[in-house]
Amino acid sequence: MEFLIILVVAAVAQLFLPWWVIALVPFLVCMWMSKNGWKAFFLSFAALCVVWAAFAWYLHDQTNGAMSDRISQIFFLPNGLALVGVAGLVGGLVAGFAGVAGYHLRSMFVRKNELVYRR
Amino acid sequence: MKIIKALLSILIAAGLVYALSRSWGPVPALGPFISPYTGFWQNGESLPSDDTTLVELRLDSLQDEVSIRYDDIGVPHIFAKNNYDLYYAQGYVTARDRLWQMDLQTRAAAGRLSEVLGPATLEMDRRNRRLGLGYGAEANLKVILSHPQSREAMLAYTAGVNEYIRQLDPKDYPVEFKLLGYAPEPWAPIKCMLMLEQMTQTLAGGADDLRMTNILKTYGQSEVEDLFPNYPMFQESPIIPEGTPWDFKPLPLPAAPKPDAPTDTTIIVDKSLISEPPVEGLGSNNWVIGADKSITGYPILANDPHLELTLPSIWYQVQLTGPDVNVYGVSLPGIPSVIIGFNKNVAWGVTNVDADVMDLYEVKFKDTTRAAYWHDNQWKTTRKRVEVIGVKGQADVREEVVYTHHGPVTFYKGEYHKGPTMAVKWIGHEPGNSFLTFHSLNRAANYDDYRQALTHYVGPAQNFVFADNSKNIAITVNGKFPLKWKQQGKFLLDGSNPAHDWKGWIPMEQNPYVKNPERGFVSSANQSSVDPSYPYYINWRQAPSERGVRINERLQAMNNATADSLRMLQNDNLNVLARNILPALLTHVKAVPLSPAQKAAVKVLEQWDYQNNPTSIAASIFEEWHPTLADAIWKDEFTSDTLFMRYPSRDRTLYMLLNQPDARWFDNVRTPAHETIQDVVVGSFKASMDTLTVHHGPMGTKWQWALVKDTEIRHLTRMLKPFNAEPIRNGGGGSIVNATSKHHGPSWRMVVELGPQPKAYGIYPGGQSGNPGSPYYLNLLDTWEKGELKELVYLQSPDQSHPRLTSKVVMKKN
Repeated sequence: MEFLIILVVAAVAQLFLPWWVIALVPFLVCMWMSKNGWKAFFLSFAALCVVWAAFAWYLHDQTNGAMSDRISQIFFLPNGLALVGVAGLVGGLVAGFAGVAGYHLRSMFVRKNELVYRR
Repeated sequence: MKIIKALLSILIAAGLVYALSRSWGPVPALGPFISPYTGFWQNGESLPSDDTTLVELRLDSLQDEVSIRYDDIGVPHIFAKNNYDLYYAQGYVTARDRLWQMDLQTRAAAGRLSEVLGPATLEMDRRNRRLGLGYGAEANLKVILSHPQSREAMLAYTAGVNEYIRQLDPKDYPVEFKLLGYAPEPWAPIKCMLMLEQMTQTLAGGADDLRMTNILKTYGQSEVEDLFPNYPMFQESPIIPEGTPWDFKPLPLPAAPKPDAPTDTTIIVDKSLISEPPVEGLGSNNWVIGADKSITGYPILANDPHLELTLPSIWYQVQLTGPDVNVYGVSLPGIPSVIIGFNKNVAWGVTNVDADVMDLYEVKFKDTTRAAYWHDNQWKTTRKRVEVIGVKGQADVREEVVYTHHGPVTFYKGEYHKGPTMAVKWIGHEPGNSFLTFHSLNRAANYDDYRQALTHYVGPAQNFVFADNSKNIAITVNGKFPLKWKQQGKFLLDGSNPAHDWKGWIPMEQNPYVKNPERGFVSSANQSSVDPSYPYYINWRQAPSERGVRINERLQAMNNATADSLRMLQNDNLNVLARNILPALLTHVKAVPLSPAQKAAVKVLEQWDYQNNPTSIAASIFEEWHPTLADAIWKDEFTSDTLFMRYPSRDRTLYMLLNQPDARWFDNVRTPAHETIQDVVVGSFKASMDTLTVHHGPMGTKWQWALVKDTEIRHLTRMLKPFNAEPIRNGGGGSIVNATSKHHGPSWRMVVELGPQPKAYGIYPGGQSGNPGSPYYLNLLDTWEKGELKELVYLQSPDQSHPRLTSKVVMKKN
């Protein structure tokens, strides 16, 4: 559930808001509904990894790598496709750590079993 | 425990976001840069799948509707109902394709690179501030804005560029802005002037006054006269043909004072901040053949300006059609109008003159406040202009530039070098309306219009070649030239002596020109403008003669020529220098014992047809050899650790090699032995063989000229290698008509057949778009590399159908 909400909200929010909204969205969502730290990290990571990698791959593919293949050389990568992976990784890591932070912030104020009861 | 976990995880997340939101040295903020929503991914472009797209733009401050037809190589053909809209649209479409280039080049001229690039460019910024490019731009802007036509064009172009910038979201910024981490700023008319200043600096912003002064001090008057003559001794084929009568009564020349250079000149050690004279390769060819030589019965004109080859391309093709104009050609991004091109009735092109229009004056300040300087036996007050140089990541740098009546003080005693304090007198500071020359040429209908257009021109001086439909052909060595005594400014001048000041100007109508000469063609390749019979002094040295000699001999022999004959001449690879000197050099080499490899090389050279073709091995040997030979002859006397000098010209060297075999300069004064001409020639031959072997292995296919020359077209930043073009494999060379060297070459090649309906061809090494992710970034390169041209689509009406037209943009008033 978190995965889908993060994925959809972050994908849309980035159309209007600065890039760091990819941290804000998982932070808030995980604060609201995550059950444990590992899950918060993993689901947030997966959501933004998918959003960034998929969109990056789409733009890369549409233009036959016209820009991404050149930029990949600046980063010492073999081609634009590798850069798609990097984009997914960076987006995922930012979201993942933000998700963990959201979860821990909430758990600071709530007892562990309260979280369990909400299930 | 929970608190620690919470704080720690928030710290990690926030730290990560922060680290990715800021730039680290040259690395841009990676978050927004890698994000597919805002980053470089957004800059990839593909060809439109539908070739007939129609885009409608609603724009502010247009007066009427504008149609823009794009052709299959990305050239916009603009149709406007008034001139304001015409230049507005030109500004808009140029910015759309070249915004970052426009920003960078005007920043460089303004001395504002450090604002975005940091301290690495501070010295360059300081140099341009001191040289007064901004001061010159402001002086020119006043004149330009006081004239209704140039004012309209500048304001309209500016509004068009700004309209485009206004529409951009950060995700739309050209990728270089994203990489360098800054945003485009609004355009302004002063930036158009800065572009012109930048061209003036490139083409007329060098002086070897200091080198020559040191040589004079070291070797004395008679040696300087012998080794640095004011006209080539071995060979020349001047632009205005020898024997052309001067149909005017010249003004008296100012009397040359005695002495004509400061006698106590100190020696300059360091070359930092000193403008170098133009390198070989910064030149151009143009010519036109008359109706009698062409198969069409009308003149055919050709032009190829040689500049540093960079990406985005220097030039931008455009067709501009308005109520009083329908012109096609290349523009410089940042300047309205077409610079080199043609219309229904005329065609024109330019090459650089390289007149002596930058002189250094030794000045003496009264005291350390620099408030007064000595001139005409009195203390005169200076003016000061405070320049604030912004530096990314550091405090601003304040530079107070002191102005004398000569110009700004560019060098201070004790700073950077051990020379005197010097001010520069430079044509780049002279107010004028050079832009109006191009504005008028765009609209010219005949020879008189051409001559009239040239009167507005100040600099950088150009050889304007011209042809019209009435079958006139002409060339004018055009610019505002100071009226000087002979060789005034060859050496450092005395800034306190009024006799050393520039004394007015050569009247514009007395600038060298020739119309419809008997030989049936006119041409220029930066060589001497005139023979010594011309009553005025233009410069003591201009570009070497080889390209001019070759062009003239081929045009002389040409009959029934077509556009393709001229295209082939643009690609001519004959090495005139080798033809002149190689047989004599080989005689020396063959007189001594050689290794088998050296013998093989001699054989290759003997069989050479003097063509600098891409596969030629002989060309590689010769091109390595002749500069090595020049070093072997001159390096011992004309370089040193403490002195800053130059070599005698190539022409003078040739003359000595062929006619003065016993000249004392062949001896290497740094060795106890006495070297002869033969020692020097043979030694340099062996040395160049060694150099080639070290870099390319033993003689073989790796010695092919295209590989050895290894022409490179680099992105303007020079550091973003992935934005460079693939290595270029073509022939030519610095002194060859096909003037492609390592980093310089024909930045635009154009051939125009005049006639009832002009037919024109052109190409440049790159493409219309400045975006490295665009299919139009390098789409013209292959054609250029092969030496071919593309026919230029010259439309007569906005609705004309043409097989090469693709999309259409309609701009409507908002």
